[in-house]
Amino acid sequence: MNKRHDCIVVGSGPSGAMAAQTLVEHGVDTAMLDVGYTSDAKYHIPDLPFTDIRRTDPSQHEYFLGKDCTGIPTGNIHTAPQITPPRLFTTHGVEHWLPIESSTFHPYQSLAYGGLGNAWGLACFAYTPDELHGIGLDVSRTQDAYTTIAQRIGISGEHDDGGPYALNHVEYIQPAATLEPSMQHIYAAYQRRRKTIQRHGGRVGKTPLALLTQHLNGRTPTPYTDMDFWTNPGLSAYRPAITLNALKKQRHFTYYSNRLVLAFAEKKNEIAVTAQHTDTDHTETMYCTRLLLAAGTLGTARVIMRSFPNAAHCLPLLSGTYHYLACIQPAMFGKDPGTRKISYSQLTLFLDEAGDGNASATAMLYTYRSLLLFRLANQLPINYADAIRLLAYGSSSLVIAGIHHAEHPSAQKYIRRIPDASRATADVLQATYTLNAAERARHRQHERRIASILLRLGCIPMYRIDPGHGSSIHYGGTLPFDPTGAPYTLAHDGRLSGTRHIYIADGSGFRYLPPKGPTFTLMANAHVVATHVINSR
Amino acid sequence: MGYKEEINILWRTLLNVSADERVAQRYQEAVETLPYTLTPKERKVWGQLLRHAWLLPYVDAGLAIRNSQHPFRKRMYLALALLEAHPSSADFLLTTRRRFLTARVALISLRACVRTVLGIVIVTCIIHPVRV
Ligand SMILES: Cc1cc2nc3c(=O)[nH]c(=O)nc-3n(C[C@H](O)[C@H](O)[C@H](O)COP(=O)(O)OP(=O)(O)OC[C@H]3O[C@@H](n4cnc5c(N)ncnc54)[C@H](O)[C@@H]3O)c2cc1C
Repeated sequence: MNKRHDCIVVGSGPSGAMAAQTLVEHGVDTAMLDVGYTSDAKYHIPDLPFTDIRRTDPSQHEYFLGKDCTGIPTGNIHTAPQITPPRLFTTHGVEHWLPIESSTFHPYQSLAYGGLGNAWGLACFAYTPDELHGIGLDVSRTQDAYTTIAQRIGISGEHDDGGPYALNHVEYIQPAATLEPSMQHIYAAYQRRRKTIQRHGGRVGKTPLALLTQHLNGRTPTPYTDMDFWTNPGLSAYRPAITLNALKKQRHFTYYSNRLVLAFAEKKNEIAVTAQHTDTDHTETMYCTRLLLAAGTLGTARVIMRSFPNAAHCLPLLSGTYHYLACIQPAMFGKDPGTRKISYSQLTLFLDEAGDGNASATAMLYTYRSLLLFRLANQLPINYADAIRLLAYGSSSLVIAGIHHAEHPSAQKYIRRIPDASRATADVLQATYTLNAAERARHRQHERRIASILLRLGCIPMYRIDPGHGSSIHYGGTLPFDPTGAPYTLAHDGRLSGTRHIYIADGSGFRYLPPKGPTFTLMANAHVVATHVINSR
Repeated sequence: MGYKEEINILWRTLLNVSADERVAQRYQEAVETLPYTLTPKERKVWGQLLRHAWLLPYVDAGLAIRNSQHPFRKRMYLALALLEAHPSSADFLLTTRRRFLTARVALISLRACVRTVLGIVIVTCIIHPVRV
């Protein structure tokens, strides 16, 4: 019998999870089609602080290195070391089902239950009205949606100097997580030199995180064990699986795993959605009256290009540019970094050159401990015995700034779908991504200014790492919002132009990417799109 | 030379810690699963290096500059990863307060430089001809 649902949501990442929750809360019969890989290896990670685990657990190698040591990264610095062995399932099956060919763009994609949200770093930025406008989103609806999402997922933060760049008017914010000593030093240095730093365009604020510092719906506050990259005690960190597991208990919600959506066809009264079973390889067609695509920017682009094979040759692409700056913080040299800490970014430096309340670049500040020093030893051009000693002596004074730049479309940033019978889906995505000289110069200039502010904050920049395009894991812009209704664009309500009931609920519509994590906005937008779907019935 | 002896020598070279039977088992499994195998010629040189373990840091340092993806260096990296995921390294690696810390850093940095210079010579004369 053919399966029919009122609404089908494709993808279970942060966007899909939020869209589905909104639909189900309004009583809409909703099905979610997803590949939904989960971890098959079971890790027994004690609920102890990282330092205690390191000192006592004889089985720590199982989760720190992976059961068969396959979690030991080789080659150059991995851009997402946070995808640790217990989370390797996040990118499982991607090479097979979502192939991409490119020498200039190396994205992260996911077919996991909860998508890339299994590994995301929880940084939640509410965009400013100018940024929302630039993206093409309705400012007041998105701002309301931020508060809805904050209530759902739980966000901790502070309305400090970073507030206007990160939290705006979002309500229901829990208190920010306690800063560890290294970050306390930086924050204190900022307070002392606030005027000078602000004159140079710098603002420092506590990074808003989807991490609980108070109880919320049966979830418990962070225990500050510094084990955040390996486990999620008390579900203090928001992961989409939390929403999905709750939705699965609802009458109106059906979750179909092992379904890779290939294409759709909109007919008079219904939409036929074709999916390939990833376990048996057979294809299946399901029907709905409204389709919400939330397969991630690249995943959705594939489905669209397959559904209109004759028309869409090429789609534009945006991927935030990202660099690391490794710094030494002399004030922490030889000091105890403390046992109680979180592993996520605790402070963000916003570079507001124009002084208009919009950041042109941001630097998220991290300390380094629980991802283990051997990864860093592999990056140093000296012998391991000395490298590990130097790192052990200096680890408490190591600060890493992850610098995000704003990204705008250009003719050198695009993807195209190429038929290829040798691939599992009979096609492959080809991507081209290069920056022009002006963009590169602008990034360099921002980085120089950030480096000089970091110096004033007591961090000496030592080494710049360029992990390449795709490493920011912030993607968008393939089907940009466009009020004129041009082909392969989205209307303000997320509807794909030329269709009646096909909606896009992920980052595909974003016309530009602000220099800050997009996921909070993706979730808010997914809620707004789902609300439009409800109203359109 | 067996894996037990090999990992023991590597751990002692890296942090002066000895490895037990279970670590040796883990090391063996990893060497056999991951692409860390050696050609017969390399195995010979590797065996000699393990027998003259004082040479290891020099060769490691030379390879870090000349060929950081060399299988010898990969084996040392694997040994280092296993060492850091074992309780016996925790006290050393997690302690940040130490006496004469600046002097220690200066001395180790100096030692690393010397090892690099000599290591490049050794690698150029011994290791690279073997690979050719
Ligand atoms: C290590 C790491 C750190 C990050 N840190 C941050 C951060 O701090 N702040 C921030 O804002 N962002 C961060 N991100 C980015 C964030 O994870 C993404 O922006 C977010 O997950 C995108 O959500 P999405 O739902 O649109 O897509 P995804 O998370 O990619 O989910 C896509 C979903 O679609 C499904 N899917 C794909 N194709 C198909 C198909 N054809 N058929 C059926 N299902 C399909 C997949 O199974 C998956 O469930 C980070 C990401 C990583 C990996």
